[in-house]
Amino acid sequence: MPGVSIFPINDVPLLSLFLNFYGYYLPFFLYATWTSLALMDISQSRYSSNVFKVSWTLVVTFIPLIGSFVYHLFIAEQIHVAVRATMIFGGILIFTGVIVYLGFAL
Amino acid sequence: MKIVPLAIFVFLGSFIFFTACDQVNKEGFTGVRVIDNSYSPPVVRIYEGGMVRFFNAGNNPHNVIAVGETWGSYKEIPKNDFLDVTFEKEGLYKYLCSFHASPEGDWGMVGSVVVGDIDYEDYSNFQKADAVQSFSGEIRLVPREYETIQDAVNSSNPGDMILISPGIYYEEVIVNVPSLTIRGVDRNKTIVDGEFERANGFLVAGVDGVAIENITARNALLNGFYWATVEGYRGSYLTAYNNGDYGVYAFDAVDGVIEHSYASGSPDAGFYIGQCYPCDAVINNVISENNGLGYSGTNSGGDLYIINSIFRDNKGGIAPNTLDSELLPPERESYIIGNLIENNNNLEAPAWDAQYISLGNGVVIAGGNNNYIKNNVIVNHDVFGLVISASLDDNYWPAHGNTVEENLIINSGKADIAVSGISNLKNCFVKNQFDTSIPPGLQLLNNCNFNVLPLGSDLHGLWNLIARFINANTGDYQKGNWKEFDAPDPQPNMPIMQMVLSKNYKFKDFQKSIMPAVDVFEGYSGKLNEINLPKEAYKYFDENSLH
Repeated sequence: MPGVSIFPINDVPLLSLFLNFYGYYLPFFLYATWTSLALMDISQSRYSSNVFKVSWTLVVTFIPLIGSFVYHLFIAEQIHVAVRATMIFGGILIFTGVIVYLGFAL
Repeated sequence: MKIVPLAIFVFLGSFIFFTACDQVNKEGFTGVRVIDNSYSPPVVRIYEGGMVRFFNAGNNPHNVIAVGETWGSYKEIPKNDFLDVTFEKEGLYKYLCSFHASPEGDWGMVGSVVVGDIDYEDYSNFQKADAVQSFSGEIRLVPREYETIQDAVNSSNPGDMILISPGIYYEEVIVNVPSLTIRGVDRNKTIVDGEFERANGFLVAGVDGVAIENITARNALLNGFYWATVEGYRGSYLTAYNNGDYGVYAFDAVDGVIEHSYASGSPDAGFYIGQCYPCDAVINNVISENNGLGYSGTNSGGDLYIINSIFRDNKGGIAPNTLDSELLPPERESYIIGNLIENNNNLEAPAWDAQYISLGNGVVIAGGNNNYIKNNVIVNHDVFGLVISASLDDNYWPAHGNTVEENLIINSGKADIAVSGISNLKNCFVKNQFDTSIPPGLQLLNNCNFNVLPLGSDLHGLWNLIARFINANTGDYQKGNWKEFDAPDPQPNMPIMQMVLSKNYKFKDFQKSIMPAVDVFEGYSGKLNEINLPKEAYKYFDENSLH
């Protein structure tokens, strides 16, 4: 009887299939997380001027990933530095890890 | 926040669910899957008093009737329905499907049930006479010596030629003698007509080495030309139009070629090679238009070449695909090279539900692996020029390892090239000339040298297919009637027959042209190096270079 398992292809481990799916959507997930938390941080800022807030809102909104990356690295004040570091570098590290794994596995 | 774990649970849970389904122990009966044109497994062994459940998992109606009609029923088992049969006495029970086998059960869709502890010989589907290597020297003339083509076939010995004069022949020709060469004198005027009453124009039923040449088949309820379970076949200079399923159809057949042929007005594919691995087959220089699909091939591949051909104005262009409803999945290793694939958006073309899903796509690789698509011109499609997509049947079949190289793919509605589904791995794109891709940057990031960025999981195309699937299931789509298409323009005759028609030929040359279809693929291998685009394709290069 043909095809008794869900992925009956030889030579393709289930983990690679999963990581391919995960790896494709991870940048979108990071974009959503970084941007929304950056916007939250800007809106809650107690010290900056309105011009400063509007400028960074535009940067974060219109330069995806890089805008919020820079904001979290150098500007953010409300979110704890450990959370920001995990979110930024942890995200990049996981994405790199996925690509490296797929590079070896495939 | 609870939605995230829920999503993961659903995603992983579906794996467990699917895996678990296969492990359910169906106590109380032994299952036989009835799929398109075979029973799987073909032989089952049960205890005395045991029950067999014949489950129709195919796309077409089938039935189960004993050879000798002692049990079973001519009543068809609809798709996704089943028939239970209990066997009280020890013995060997042979059965067949009356739609797809001979009444004696010596060829076609047959199987057997072994009840109790008896000795049995493994039941072969076909009793074959041996093919012969060369022309026997005997030429049988229709209608001068035999009134019908079938009469001539019945009188023939392996290696004979049947030469058919111009005329309309109202019959279904069942070829059960191997190594025949059946040829029409004039391709456009020698016509086998099914009158919408008979199943096939020509059915080559399990006999090897039969060549059919220079003839037209029309108005058959199923197929124009059909080779079933053969080794060695050739269709040259054939015209098939307004046939109710396929135009030219090779199923469970290996070592063959279909060349210089034309198919239109079939609701399924104009040309089809299915259920073979390795197929060792070539489709060369054919024209397929106004069909449900230009080419389709389920679970086929392995030295399967589709070259130098034109696929235009069908609902969908070329669709190699993987399905669980037939044997030998997945589809793999098809070489689609040097074809013109254009304007496959034809709402007026006939179609069944499964073909409608491909509407507006040039090339759809549905769950296929390691296919090679090179030097094609793929233009003017409403949806995708080329899409590599997963296929979902009983199993989920991702599309892996397909190479798309040096094609011209332009003027597509959604994207010129696309990959779609959950986890299609190692598909690569190189040196294609195109404008748009989904996901963006596909050729840059998944090229054939560096291909680790995970872009094979975009779902855009899959949503599109699901929407189509829903439309198809509700019957909510436009299609033409396959019985009502115009006859095609006259097609070129086989060169030697053109010379015969103009009475300028040597009998020796004519004799030399008669070859049974033996070792066809091997003899063709030289031509696979000379792949040329159809000349109609070159205009797109000119237009495109003007930009």
